[in-house]
Amino acid sequence: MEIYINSSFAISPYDSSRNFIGMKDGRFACIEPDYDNILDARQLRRMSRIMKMALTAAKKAIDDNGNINPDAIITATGLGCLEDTGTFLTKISDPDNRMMNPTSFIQSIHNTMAGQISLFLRNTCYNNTFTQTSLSFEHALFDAVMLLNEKPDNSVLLGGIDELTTLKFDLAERLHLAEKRSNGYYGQGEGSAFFTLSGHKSKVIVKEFILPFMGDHSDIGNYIEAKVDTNDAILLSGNPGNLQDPDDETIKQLFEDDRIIDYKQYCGDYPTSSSFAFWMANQLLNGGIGMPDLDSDLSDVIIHHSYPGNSQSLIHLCRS
Amino acid sequence: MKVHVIGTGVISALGENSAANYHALSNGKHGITADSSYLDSFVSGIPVARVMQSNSELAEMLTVSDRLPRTALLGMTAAKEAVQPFIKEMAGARIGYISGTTVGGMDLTEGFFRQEMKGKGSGKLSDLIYHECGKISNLIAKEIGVIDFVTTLNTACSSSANAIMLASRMIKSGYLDFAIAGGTDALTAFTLNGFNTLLLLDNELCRPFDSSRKGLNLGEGAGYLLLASEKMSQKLGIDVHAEVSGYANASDAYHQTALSEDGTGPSLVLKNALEIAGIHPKDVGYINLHGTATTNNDIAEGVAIKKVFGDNVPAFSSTKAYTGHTLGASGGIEAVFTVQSIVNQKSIAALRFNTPMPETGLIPVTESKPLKIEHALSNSFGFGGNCCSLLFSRKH
Repeated sequence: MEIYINSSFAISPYDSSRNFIGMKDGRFACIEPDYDNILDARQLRRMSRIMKMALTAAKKAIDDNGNINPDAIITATGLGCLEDTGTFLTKISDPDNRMMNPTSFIQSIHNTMAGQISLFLRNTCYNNTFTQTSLSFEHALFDAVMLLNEKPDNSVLLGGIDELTTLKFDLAERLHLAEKRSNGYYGQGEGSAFFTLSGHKSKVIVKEFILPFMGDHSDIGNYIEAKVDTNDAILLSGNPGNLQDPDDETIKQLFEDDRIIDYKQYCGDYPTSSSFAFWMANQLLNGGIGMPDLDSDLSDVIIHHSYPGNSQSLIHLCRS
Repeated sequence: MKVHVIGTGVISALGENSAANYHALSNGKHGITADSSYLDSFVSGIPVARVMQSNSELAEMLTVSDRLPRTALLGMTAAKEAVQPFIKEMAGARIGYISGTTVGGMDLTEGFFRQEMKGKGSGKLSDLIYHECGKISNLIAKEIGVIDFVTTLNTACSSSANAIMLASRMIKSGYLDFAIAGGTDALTAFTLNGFNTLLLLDNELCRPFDSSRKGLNLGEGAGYLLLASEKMSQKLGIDVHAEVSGYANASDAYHQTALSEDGTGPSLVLKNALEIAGIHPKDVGYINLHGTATTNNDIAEGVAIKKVFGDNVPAFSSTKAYTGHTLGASGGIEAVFTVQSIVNQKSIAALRFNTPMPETGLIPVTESKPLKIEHALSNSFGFGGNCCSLLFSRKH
């Protein structure tokens, strides 16, 4: 069955309307909308930042799809709700501070976003949250596609969300990223991107995706050579900044230089950044504003998400 | 394509393998015997169900480093038990490891934070590298070897039930031949404090479905099923414990930390799991409850059971009275117990039950006794309103 992207919305460090990237000193930060116009004040008061970003992107994607309440809500997050996790960890580690309230614990759980979206939509359908490091979004997409093949009439809300907090930024810099940055690493990022997928025809088809268990590494290259006219295609590469990565180099060799975009220069590096690439691919194929200047006969976008030393994946989107 | 259960692995406060756990269940012997103060001196005197072995004892049994997170050590122990007897037969097949966890490597992260509190910069950064839930799965999958597909779900306390559902769907759709599916979670100060601030912990032993219940006891452990496609189990002539005949996931869409009083989500998953399998409610012989013993859970679950089963409620009990609430591991551990009850055609006795809840009047089975169980359900509900029910059927 053909699966289409019916709508998408992303809150990211990249403002495509102004061609502006929210990045300073290796830290990418989402350019957030004015939530007061989107969510109601009573809800906003208790909501964490990651929750606001998730709920807003989910709501916008659903609004853009004719406000259809989805038949499944599937989210992906590599690190979950870091702000609340950090807050609660700090409180329980401080022997002098035993005045605790449960809010940050409650909101620290990875499925807070998927749960709150179901609550907001009064949606009692299938609800799941994947957390498999840099493959979290790919696995959520896999579940969405499997679900649509099981139930072809359904529509699925799919999202990838990770937040960057000051604590996480500092710890990761201390751990290894400060050094990497001097070698070309773009920096740490964050984002919230949501999509509605279904069998209802739209401009963009989720043509194929390849995960590590579906074949060995060389299959991604073989697939591109066999199935993609690279002159009419764009490669969105997940290399976090000119880092040495043989998998990445093998795939890049199949494309001319001007057909390759390192998408992490727009959103930074984070576990579910391929959801940003999925949004960007959909924008490119829809001729969205502020996208890098491309010729009009663009027909295919390949998202190649590899990470030095880690598993890689391919997502192929094309015009219908 | 049918999905068969061909192996099990469990570690909990009841023991370090499936046989030891079932022995304790059959004899009405619980494992909620530790005091929470070993985790956190500020939340002390609260009973918890701690796995007897220390990290170094687990690491020695496994011959791995004892610097790994406890969640990984527990998961390796149970997953290895499930997979070991068939590791040769599985060679060359497509194998998945699908796991639920809520705390991931939180025990080591806590150590880092405690150290940092004494002086910024003094925490050991290497304690953070396994914080992510997915990293725990990678460690376990690497220890088992032979794994093609690794993924992790975190839907709070229903995580590992959802892992078994996802694995079953992947086998059914032809993506995998075998799957090790379940979950793992260690006791941590993070969850102990969290449930404590929510006032959900009982300072005595928990009493699921009893009118006097006051809350839950936390536990730890890991539980996995080894699943195989019918084609594979037939080809290899493997003994089948049970079939995964149904599953359902739904959101209660009511509250972040409480279930609706009319049991919307729980009744949806019970109904849908039966419907997928084409099984009539009257043919269900046993339900392994979510049964946390919180005021709210047991009412919502009880109301849902009455809604779906009417006047013909099957035998039911909550094994959390034995293992404590093992959070992300509970769906996996309880799936193993549910399969064991089918294999042995025996009920698992509810513990510490005296008086039915006035709201439902439901009375659990209080004896371990021979019982005809053709089909059995296992319930798991989590924060965020996430509900999952699994249906297992007897193989003849």
